[in-house]
Amino acid sequence: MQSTAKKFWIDIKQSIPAYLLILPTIAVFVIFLYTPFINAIRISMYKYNGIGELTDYVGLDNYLIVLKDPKFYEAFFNTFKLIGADAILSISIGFFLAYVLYRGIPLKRFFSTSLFIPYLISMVVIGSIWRIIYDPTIGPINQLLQLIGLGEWAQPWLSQYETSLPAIILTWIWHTIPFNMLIIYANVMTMPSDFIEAAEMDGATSWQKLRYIIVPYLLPTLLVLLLLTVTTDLRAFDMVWVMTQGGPGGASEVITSYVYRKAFSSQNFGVATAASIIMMLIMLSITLTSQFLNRKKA
Amino acid sequence: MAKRKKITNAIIFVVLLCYACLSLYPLIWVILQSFKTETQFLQSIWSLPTSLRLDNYLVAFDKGNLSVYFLNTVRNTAATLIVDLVFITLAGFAFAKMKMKFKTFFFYFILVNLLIPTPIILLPMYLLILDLGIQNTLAAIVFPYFQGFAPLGLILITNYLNSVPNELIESARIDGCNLFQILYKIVVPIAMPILSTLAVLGGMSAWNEFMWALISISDISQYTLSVGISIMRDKTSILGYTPVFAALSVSAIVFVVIYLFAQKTFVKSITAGAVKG
Repeated sequence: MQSTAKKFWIDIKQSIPAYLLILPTIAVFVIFLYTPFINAIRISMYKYNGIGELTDYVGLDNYLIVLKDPKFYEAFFNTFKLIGADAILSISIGFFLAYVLYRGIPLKRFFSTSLFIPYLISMVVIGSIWRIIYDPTIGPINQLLQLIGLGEWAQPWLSQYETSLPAIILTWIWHTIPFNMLIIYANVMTMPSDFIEAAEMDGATSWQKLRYIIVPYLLPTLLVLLLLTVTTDLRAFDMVWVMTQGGPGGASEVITSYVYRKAFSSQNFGVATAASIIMMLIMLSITLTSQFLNRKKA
Repeated sequence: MAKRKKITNAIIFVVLLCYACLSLYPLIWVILQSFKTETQFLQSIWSLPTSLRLDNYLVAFDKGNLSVYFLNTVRNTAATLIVDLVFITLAGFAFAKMKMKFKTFFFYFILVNLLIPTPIILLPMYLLILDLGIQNTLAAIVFPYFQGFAPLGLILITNYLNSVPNELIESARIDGCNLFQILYKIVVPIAMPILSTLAVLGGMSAWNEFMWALISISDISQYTLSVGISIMRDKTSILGYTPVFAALSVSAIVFVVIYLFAQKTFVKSITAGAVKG
């Protein structure tokens, strides 16, 4: 018994150099991740406006306030509309573009470079640019419609209820397609060439090659992209905030902008934190489910 | 058959050309407007600029405070990158090559961050930096950014260093190198490819980060480019449209230019960053 205890201390002692090397990282995590995280759980159970001590304990009331708030559900469903559109459109268009580049096309270098550019511009800058593009008077979209005689279609895209979310989603997808394209392209290029050669020997058409060889080969990549899409879009904030701040009347509110508004416009930190913890639980369940499904398949 | 294939290829080419226009046009349009005078722009948004006048850029940098935003962002990004790379190299080496009791525990202590969405942390972290009295300082930017970067960074560098043969490090130790000499003379040169990947990923996210900068920075003289650009559109009434176009052009073009010069590194980094999940 004593010898195992002794061995334990010897192990610890020999680990000291390694501990010193990880100390800076661990310290940052204790101060800037674990402390705020524990505080988040505490704050979510208090009525708190961000100033002074936590005194007004309300138990789970903040969670109930969020779960009873129709605005939260609006933000929730908007976020999932974004995720759905992004997952379906962006990944499939990205796939199409990657496949075309893989098959070979004239000016391939020009295309692969220029198609990637929307991903290199930050969400904030893209949001600001597209906010001008959607502008009712000086925006190119409305001006173009007027120019080709479709002036009656011109409308205030971002400031009316029906169009503000679709307009943001369109811009969002414009930004994410190149990312999906790049990842799919990089992975299809790693496919061993004898896969395709063997299929060609058997006289497979290009559709058959796509359907039975390329898509199955890329399936793990597509699943990773799907998971990345879900986890990134759940946190969507930058572009929404720059383009509409969630307006008009919550039409384009997403979960994160809802949290921000509750904290900094309504000074209601307890409710805001409760909403963000609900968001974490949604995200955790998605991640864990997908991990579980992956395990099961393997 | 061959004819049908030709037609299909032609259609695909035209579709791709249209899509390329859609990808490039917003940026090109903004850049074109940035060279025009306010009157030229208001007369027609389609006209081409008559000369390469840089007045709008001067207004944006001077009256529009763009120079302040730029310098702050450069400083924040540089400081974040130093912390990112130094801390993660130390930790990555310890996890990959050193004897460490409770290694798995400490590894997941950092990785668990991938499961916690940033917005949860931001509100209490905001209260924390107020308590610590570090609001509007570099520390309040750099350490939170490092916290966001560390999990992915650690996965990538640990995987990379795991593939480095132990004999290399052992022989350096036998030659009498101490720990820091080993890191400096052996590990860093070997890890250069992965460090450049990490620099691209960490640098891009630090440069573009918006929400934490918006929440935590209250002093206008400390605003970053993201925060500055987000309020730029509201300045059109004071500055006019064309200087705002100049500001948008400069901020949009930064990574496009770096990408054009270092395409390989960029593509490699972004691909490497997508393997998590």
